[in-house]
Formats: sequence, structure tokens, C-alpha cells
Amino acid sequence: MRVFDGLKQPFDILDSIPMGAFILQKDFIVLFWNKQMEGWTHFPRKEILGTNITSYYPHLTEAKYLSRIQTVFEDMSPIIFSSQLHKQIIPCSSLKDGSLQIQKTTVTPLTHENNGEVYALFIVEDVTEISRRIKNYQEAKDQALKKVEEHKTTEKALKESEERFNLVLKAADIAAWDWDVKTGDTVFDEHWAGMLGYLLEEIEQNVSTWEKLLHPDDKSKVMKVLNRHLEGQTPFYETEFRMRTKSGEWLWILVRGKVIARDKDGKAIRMTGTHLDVTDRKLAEEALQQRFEELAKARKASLNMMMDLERARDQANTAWREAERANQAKSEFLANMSHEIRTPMNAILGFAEILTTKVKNKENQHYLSSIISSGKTLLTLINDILDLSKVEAGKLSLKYSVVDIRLILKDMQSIFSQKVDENNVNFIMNIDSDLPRALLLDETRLRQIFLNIIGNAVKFTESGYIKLAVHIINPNKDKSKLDLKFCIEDTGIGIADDQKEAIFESFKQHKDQSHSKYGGTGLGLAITKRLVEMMGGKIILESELNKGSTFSVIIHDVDIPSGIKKQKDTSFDSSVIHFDKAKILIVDDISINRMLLKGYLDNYELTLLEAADGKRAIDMAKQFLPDLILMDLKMPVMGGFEAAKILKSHAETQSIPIVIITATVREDIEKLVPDACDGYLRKPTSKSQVIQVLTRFLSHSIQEKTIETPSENNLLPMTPEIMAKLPELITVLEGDVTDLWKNVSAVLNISHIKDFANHLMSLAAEYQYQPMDLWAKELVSRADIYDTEGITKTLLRFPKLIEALKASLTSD
Amino acid sequence: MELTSEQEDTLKELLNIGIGKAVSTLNTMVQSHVQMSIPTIKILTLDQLINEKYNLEDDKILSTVQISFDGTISGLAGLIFPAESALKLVDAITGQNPLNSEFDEMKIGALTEVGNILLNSVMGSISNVLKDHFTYSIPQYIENTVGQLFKPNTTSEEIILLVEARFTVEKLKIDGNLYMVFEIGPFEILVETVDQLYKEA
Repeated sequence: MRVFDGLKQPFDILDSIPMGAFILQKDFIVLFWNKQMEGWTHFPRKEILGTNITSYYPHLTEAKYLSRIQTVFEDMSPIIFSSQLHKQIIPCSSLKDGSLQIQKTTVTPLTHENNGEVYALFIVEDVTEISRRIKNYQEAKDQALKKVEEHKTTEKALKESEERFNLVLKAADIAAWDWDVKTGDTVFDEHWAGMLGYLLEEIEQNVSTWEKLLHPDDKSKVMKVLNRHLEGQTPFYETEFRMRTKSGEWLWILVRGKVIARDKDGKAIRMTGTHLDVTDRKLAEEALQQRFEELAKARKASLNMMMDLERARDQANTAWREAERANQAKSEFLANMSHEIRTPMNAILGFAEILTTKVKNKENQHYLSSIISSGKTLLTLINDILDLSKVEAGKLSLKYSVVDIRLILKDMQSIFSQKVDENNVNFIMNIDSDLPRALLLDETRLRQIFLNIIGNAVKFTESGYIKLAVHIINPNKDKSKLDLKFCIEDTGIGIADDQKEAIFESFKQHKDQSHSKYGGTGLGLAITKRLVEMMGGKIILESELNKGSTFSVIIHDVDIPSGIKKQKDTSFDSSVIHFDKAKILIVDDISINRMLLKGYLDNYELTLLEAADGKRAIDMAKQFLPDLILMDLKMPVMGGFEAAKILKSHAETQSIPIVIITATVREDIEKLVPDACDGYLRKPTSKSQVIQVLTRFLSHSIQEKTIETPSENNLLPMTPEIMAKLPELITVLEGDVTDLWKNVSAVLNISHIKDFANHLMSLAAEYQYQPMDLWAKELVSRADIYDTEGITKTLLRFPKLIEALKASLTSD
Repeated sequence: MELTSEQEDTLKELLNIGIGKAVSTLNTMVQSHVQMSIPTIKILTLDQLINEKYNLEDDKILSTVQISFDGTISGLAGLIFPAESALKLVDAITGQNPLNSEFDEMKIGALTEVGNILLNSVMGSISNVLKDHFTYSIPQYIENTVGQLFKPNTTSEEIILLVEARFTVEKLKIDGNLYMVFEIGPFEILVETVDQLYKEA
């Protein structure tokens, strides 16, 4: 472009255009500023020419202007600043309201003809007005569009709503009606007619159609409801009634309606509403109502029952709690009382025993024997009860020793043989030939088990047999252990099914077991069961009423000791012991206890010292240096343990053996005793126990009794020599021995009984009459375990023993 | 006329430089960051352009911004937007709600400026290579069909350089196509220059 030609003021022409125009040099110096620019900016041309435009308009140095303006100079390409992207390039007030102009700017390059210098010509258009109009137009259009859109939405929603309504009516099986109340003209819809089985054309569009089809029984009720609504008393008209269908059936209809127009007096003009067929619901409701009533009745009955149950349960709970409390109290009582009971029993029996050697008067002796025997019976019973409570409280422990079961069973056989013979009952023994001679078992408890079960069998079997069998039921096991099974089978009265569990319960006896006939405490089987369980075994009862019972005792994992030791002789005869001279210190705070021990030791050549507490005991021990100290545990001032410890810590008293005598039931006493003391005895102590302990510590001699033990096995054949001596035996038995027997039977003193039995055994040995030996042994066995019932019965058989002896003579 | 792959690569790079410059200029002006893809280039005759359409339906009115240029080579450079793309791009760079928009005077102004920037940048790159200054017309916004874009005297055998690029405005999740057509005569001069450039490089 060559615009510089021939013009002195080459740009003046730009003053004549209605747009802003200015020219910049490459260095942004203003070369020209037209009149329009002057008017808009109020910067006079004179002032702005030759200055850098950025000093007036610094924003032009921003990249978005600067880089583009530079392209005009560099590439000589025209550029456009649109109003949309820039609003304005030269800010100036709009003439109208003072707000800034909106501008559209075009920049074109101009080239100097002579030197080729490039200039930029800015043409600035004021597009404020057109922008405003476009904006207004845009807004108006947007609004209009929005309204159209809204209208469309509303219209669509309306249409949808209407469609939905129709669909709902159809889907819900709802019929519609529109009633002109004044004329009676009514518009029923197709569905209204269809519901009743009519086509729309078949019915008259009048309210009378409805009235005609209405069930006469429902009419008065419906009219009442309708009139109340027509009079404006209710907001809605809603009720149910029956209508007759074309086919003559009755439908239940739920009607809902509302007066939608009233005249100025409030009288209803127009009313619309719907009909809904609720027949199914109505029928279901009726059925439901009926069912509900039945249920309510049943529920009431069951509620009453539940209340009764609840009451019963409460009562049962209360009773149970009381029983529980009582049982707990009983256990506590027994645990507490065992000590208290044994201590006086100890005194009673002990002193009575001592008196027997002192009282010479026969009558008094008789009384004394009664005291002793009754006392022992009582002690037996107490022991039973205590045994049971100990087992129940888990306080009883088993004492294992090497046992030969065969011997025990033979004892059993001999104990019960007489009775069995009397009843004409066969006693059969069947012992597994592989049964080891030695097994580790608690002999005392095992005997107790056998005595109880066999005793029962004998008691309840009057004919047939009693079979005692022992089996090894697990022979393949490790050779160190085996399982044992004892079966005691009888052909007795049997046990009914409902009694089978009860007989193992405490204080329960066989229902038909008349006490007068059979006797017993009822604790036997309860203790037996618990003992078996303690041994890790179980007891199984099979029985049929009137046919017999089988008790099977199974004991698992019985140890077989490696070297077979000879069974220890458990019977101890204190009468054969003779102590050398010795001093014994008796320490007990209760004088009766000291007296009792003194009484036991009276007949020996022993010097007896007494102390009432531990401290006194220490003093006396130091002073007299006794050979043995019998020490009570619980004492005032200083207890037995403490005293024992002190004595053991002093050199001069260290070697004195100390035997603790205590009434404590604590099992762990055995663990405590060896540390401080040399032995212990549990109260109540018997004379023989005391003597036996003394033999461990004091030098003594034994005066052996010369009793020939009869062979244990079968009855020996009666030789003529034996037979010859028997009449003499009869004389002895019927003479002194019968007197003794009467005495013993009357007082039931255990030691007397034993003495008596021993006497008979020696007679039996002397005359070699074995049945008497067996009878005496049974008596001893029973006496050993305080089986007073058994003792009495055995004793009662004494005359029969003599008769049998006589019979054996006559028969041969 | 066929371009060798070297020629095409060089030309593509040339155009890419111009477009890159335009984008950086655009981004100084607008809030949303505009990105442009590397352009694809086709050498066609006008006939081919019209017949083969290349996504440009000839019976449809297109929004175009054109400049004519004159120098060592002369011709026409045009920016073509499919209507939808044009609206999207303008709305993106002016920050307006893209819905309910209408192509009014103000938007035309904005689009013209965008075209101005793009075409100037590309032409600037070309003129740099040719070491020549062109004389340009002021950019014009024209709505027309593809066939009517070019001067009445343009023959159907005229060589057309068609450049297609894709723009994206990530922030607004907007994208679209834009086309640039260059009717360059004589086209051989450009190709020769491009060859030379390649040899020099």
C-alpha cells in the first residue's frame, strides 16, 4: 500500500471516517490520532503524537495484544481484535451512559514507499450499540425459548398425567360417575357399566340406574351416608354396598365421591365419584374375621395355658432354687460337720472301748457294748454319708495298692455263701484265667463296690443263681494296662425300667423294696456308682422285672505293676504288740482327746506326758526328750505345725519323731505332713491305728498268735479223724461259744465281734471244720467295713451253722 | 501431484510450527486451554476436494474465515469449521455456556479473530521459509459451501493443500475438527522450497 503519495498530511483523510483510527510506528510511537479518537478519548492529537502509546494504555504491553500487534510489523498480516474476545482495545466512555465502549478493531500494516518502514493502522469501531442489541435479543430469545420449553414440559406433564390417570383408573379397575344432583342425569363411564356386566348402551344414564341395582338391605345405610355428605356434614362420601350384576350376582362396591359444585344456598348441584369392586376383599375380610375370631379364642386359651405354665415354672424355679440352696447348705453342713461329728464320736467310742477292759459288772458291760455297737453303727452310717458327700464334693481320693482280685472275690464268696446256701441259690464264679494276680486298685473301695452289688444281689435273689464274672475286655492293649469288666448277674426280683436310674441316686431305694424286709440306707449303689466313676469306669445295669438283674462294672486302664509284690497284710492286731519302755508326749488342747490317747496307751509300758499347746510342748520336749510326740494341729498359743517346725530346727529335739493327729478333712494334709513331721493320723483314731503308728517309731516285740490258716480253696474232704472230733466241737459251740455269741449279737461291738470271729476261726482250725472258718471270715470282713446289717445277718446264721454241723454228722 | 514422504513430513512440520504458534497466542487470550493435534495434510485438486468431501459436505453451509495473500506465491487460505465445531470452539474460548448458543454477530467476530490468528501463524511460517513477505487481505467470515469458497476463476485442476487438525478443550470436555485449505500458486515453488529445506536439514 502506498498511501504516502502526494499528501502533505497523508493521514488527514482518516479524520473524515466515523471510526476511531490511529497509526503506530514499530516502536509503538503514535504517528497519527484521528478526530474520532480525540473525541472518544479526550486526548488531543497534539498531545499524543510522538509519544509511546503504552504510556497512555499500558495494557497494550500484555502478551495478548503485544504479540499480535508485533505480527503486523513482522509478517505484515492484518489482525482483528473482536469485541467478543477483547471488549475494547482503547478504553473510552460510551457517550450514552458512561460505561465503556465495546469495540471491534482491525489492524492493517502500511509500508512506507521510500524506506520500507512498516506502520500499523488501527481502525476502531464502536459496536456498543449493536452488542447491546444482540445481547438483548439473545436474552429475549433465551427467555422465549425457555418459556416455550417450560410450556412444552407442562403440556407434556399434563398429557402424561392425564394418560396416567386413565391408566390408573383402568389398572385399578375403578369406575367413574358424574351426577347432576338436580336433574338426576348421571354420566357413568364404560367401566361403571362393565363392572356390573353391562355395556354402556344398556344402561340409562340416570341416578335411578344405580338405585335400581343397589341391594335393598344396604339402601337405607347408603342413603344416610349420602345425604349427610349432600348436606355438607362430611368432607367425603365414602361407603360400601352391594349391587346386582347383569347375571344376578351381588358385588361389593366401594364408593368414593365428593360434591364438586353447590348453589348459593349450599345445595349440591354436581357430584362425582368412583366405584371400586371390593367383593374379593370383602369375602377375604369375612373369612379373615372368622379366622381371627377363632385365633383369638385359641390365643386366649393358649395365653391362659402359658400363664399357668409360667406360674408352674416360677414355682418350679423357686422350688429348684430352694432345693439348690438346701443342697448347698447340706454339703456345707456335712463338710463342716464331719470334723465336729467325728471328734465326739471318737471320744464316745474310744472311751467306751477303754471302759470295756475296766468295767467288770456284767450288766454294765452289756450297756457298754450297746453304746459301742450303736456308736459304731452310727459311725458307719456317718461314714457312708460322709463318703458320699466327699465323693460329691470331689474330696475323696483313691489309694492304689497292689491287689489280687481273686482273693477279694473269694472273700466275697465266703461272706455271702451261707446266705446263698440258705436260699438255695447257686453262687457261680467265672474268672478270666488270664487275669493277673496283681493289679493296681484301691482295695478298700473295690471291696466296697463288690459288697454293695453282691450284697444287693444276694438280698434280692431268693432262688436261681448269682453269677460273678471277671473278664479282661481289652487284652490287646499295652501290657502295662488292661480294662476290667465285672459282671454280677442274679435271678432276683429285677428292677423296673422306671427305677433303673433312680436306684443310683442318693437315699433312694427300690420302689418295691420294703425297708422292713430288706433294710439298708439306700446309699450303697449311689456310693458304688460314684466310686466306679472315680476309678475311671462305669456301671451298667440290665434288668428285667421278676427275672433278674446284671450289674456290669467296667474299669478302664487298670495298671499292671511290673514286679508282683505280695499283698500287704492290712489287718493289724494291736493286742500282739509289746512296746519297750518309752516316753510319749501327747499334745492337744482338748483334755478329752489327751485322755483318749492316754486310755489307748494305758496298758503298755509307756510314760505319757501331756501338753495343751505348741509352746508348752516345745518346753516339755526340751525338758523330757520324749521318744515320740503325738501332736494336734489346731491349738491356741501355738499350733502343731509351728511347734513341729521349731522342734525340728533344734538340735536336741530334731530327732524326736512327731506324729500329727488331726481332724482336718483337707486332702492336701498328706503333702504338708512329711516336711515337718514323721507321720499323721486322722481323727477319729482307733486304738489299733495309734498302736500301728507307734510301732513305726518305737522299739517293740510281736507276740505271734498261732492260728493255722485254713486253705483258701474248696472245702477239704472230711476225714474220719475230723469227723470224730466234731461232736466235741458241737459241745463247745453250744456251750461257751453260744453264750459269747449271744453277748456279741446283743451289743454288736466290732472288736468283740472280731474277737469272737477269731475265736471261732481258731476253733475251726483246731477241729479242722472249714464251714465255720468261712463263716467267721465273713463275719470279720463285714466287721472290717462296719457292715452292721451284714454283721447282724451273719450272726443270726450262727445256730444254722451248728445245725449244719449236726446234719453233716447224721448224714454221714 | 504427489508429495514424497520427506516433502510431506517437512510440510507437516512447517504447518505444525504455525499451528503451535497460533495455539500459544490463542491461549494467551482465553481462559480455557486449547490443544491442537498434529495436522494431517493432503494435496488435492479442487475437484477431488469437492467430490471426496473429506467430512465436508458440499451442500452444507460451512463457517469459513478466509484471507487472500500475494507474494512469491499467491492464493487463498481458508479456515473451515463444521458448524458444530465452530460453535464449540467459540463457546470454549469465550467461556460461554455451549448450550442454547446461536451464531450471532459477536460470535462471528470471535471466530474471525480465531481464524485470523491461525491463518496468520501458518502463513507466517510459510513466509518465513520462503523468505518473503506476503500481502494479506483482511480476514473475512464467509458462510458458504466448499465449492464456493474459492475464487470464481479457480479451475477445478487447481492444487489445494488440505490440512485437518483436531482441537480439544479438556477442561470443558469439548473437541472438534478444523480444516485449513490453501490454494497456493504456483504450488511447485512451495514444494521446491520445502525440498531445499529438507536438504539443508
